[in-house]
Amino acid sequence: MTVSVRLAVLLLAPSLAAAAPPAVPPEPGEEWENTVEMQMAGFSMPAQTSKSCVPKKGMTDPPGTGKDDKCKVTRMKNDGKTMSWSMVCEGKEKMSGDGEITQTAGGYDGKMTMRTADGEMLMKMRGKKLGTPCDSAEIKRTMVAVQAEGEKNMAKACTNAAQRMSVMSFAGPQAMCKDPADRALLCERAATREGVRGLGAQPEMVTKDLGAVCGKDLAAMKLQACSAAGREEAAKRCKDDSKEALAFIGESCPAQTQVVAQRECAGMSYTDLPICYRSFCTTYAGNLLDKGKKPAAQPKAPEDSTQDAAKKAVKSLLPF
Amino acid sequence: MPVLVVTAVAALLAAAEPTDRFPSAAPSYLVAVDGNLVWAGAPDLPRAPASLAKILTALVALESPTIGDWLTVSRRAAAATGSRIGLRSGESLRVKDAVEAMLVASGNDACLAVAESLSGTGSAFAARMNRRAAEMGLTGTRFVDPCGHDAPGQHATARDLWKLARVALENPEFRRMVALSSVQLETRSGRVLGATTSNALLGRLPGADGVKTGFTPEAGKCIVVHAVRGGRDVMLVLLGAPDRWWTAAALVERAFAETAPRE
Repeated sequence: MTVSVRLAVLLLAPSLAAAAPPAVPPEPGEEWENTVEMQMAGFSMPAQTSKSCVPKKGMTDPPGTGKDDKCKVTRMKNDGKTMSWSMVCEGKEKMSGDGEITQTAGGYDGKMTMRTADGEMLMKMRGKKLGTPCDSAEIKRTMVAVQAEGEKNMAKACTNAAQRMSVMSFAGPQAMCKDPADRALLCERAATREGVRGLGAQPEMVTKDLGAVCGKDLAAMKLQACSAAGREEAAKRCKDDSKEALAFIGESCPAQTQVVAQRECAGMSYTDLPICYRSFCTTYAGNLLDKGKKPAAQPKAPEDSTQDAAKKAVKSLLPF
Repeated sequence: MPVLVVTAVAALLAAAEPTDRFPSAAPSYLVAVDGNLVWAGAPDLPRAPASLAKILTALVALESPTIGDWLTVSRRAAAATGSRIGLRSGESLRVKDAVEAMLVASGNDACLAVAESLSGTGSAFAARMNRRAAEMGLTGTRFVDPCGHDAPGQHATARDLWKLARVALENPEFRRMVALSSVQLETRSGRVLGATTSNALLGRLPGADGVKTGFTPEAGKCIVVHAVRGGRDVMLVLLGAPDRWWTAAALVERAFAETAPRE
């Protein structure tokens, strides 16, 4: 294997690993010790030494090309012992560079100059062949595993995002989550109580995109949840398992709140009201006060309705 | 951190002037959270206090050294009108028991019996009440009838009643009595009398632990409410509320909700 090819392996290992197929068979390699020193803007950073496993058969790609189409080798010269090259990178992080590697007894020696918008950086490289047999595919395997784990975590995060009604994760061209199953879950939940509550906890400027994500009207989805809660509450009235529906109506459904309030609160005395509607009706009374209305705006009976008329007439004249 | 937030909220509340957020609640009302006024409408308007006067009657009695004594019910006290616990002329009971009956069931017979036992007459006791009111700086308040019957020249303000209730609640016996949902007392002759609280919020509104209700034709429906939740307290005074229970419950809920510390 030539020095240039070994260097290419060292420099390109991460990008190659990222593109490797899921099953990576073992590949005979030999261990190298590599030392890199960097200098930038007059400062030298401490030398970094690491070991790597380089394939015995070498690599076919020239250095600097790899899978990164933003960087191109513009010049390359190889006389068998020394290789020199120039490269240019386009895109956000523009860069140009020149490098040279010379084979030495049992290793290599070289340098590379990189010019970026932030200044010039000099990288000195030394390599020593240790020769210990190793599996050069190990790093690729690790990278494949890391990538697979990352994808798994992303899938989990997107399912959680759908559960939490995180519209931001699904909206716009830069959406983090693109799995149709997660989007379907998000849209399905938008018409449930949990979903409406989750949306209600977020700013409107975030949730307004839900309609576009789901291809449905946001208000219609909420109405669906509210109507279902209204039907459930009306059917169960004051049974234990209707509490949640009633609480949801009070929090999120103005139209259904009106219906329940007219049916259960209006004209009722505080003392005669069933316990299960007390909190709901108290909140409703507060809303009426907010609007400048009296809390029992539609009294069907006065608060002391349990008293008979005669007793009431007498009592109204007296302090208690 | 939560302590810091609570402190900050309290400081903000203290600094802010109370707003008349709920003008339909009552002609005169106020809501205070942790000792700071948050909402109020005409809090200094003089109004008939009705049985809220019994807050001061009870406080003066509880501060008296003769609170443990027996009193004898006069014919006048036994004939008191309005809410009563059914005392009979000539029978004896402990002053403290009568105070309890006056606070829990708003018994006017018990109230007048206490006033007469401590000062000889209702009007003499009212003078004593006014001296105590002056000590507390209740400048908008004057009592004529110790039990709160409408009377010319008798008036109180929501602000004064709030101050009064705060002082009264510092008295452990007063605090215990106003939290009772019913009262049972025994006369010296062994007759047992019972009555339930006039405060419909007790046992219904979470955290409500007193104070007093009142009604007369002139005063309308009145109430002073105290409620505690999670170490925070709300005090509400409504004078002449068209619907005091709903209004009181709603305002107490609102006060806790809107001033809840956020992390």
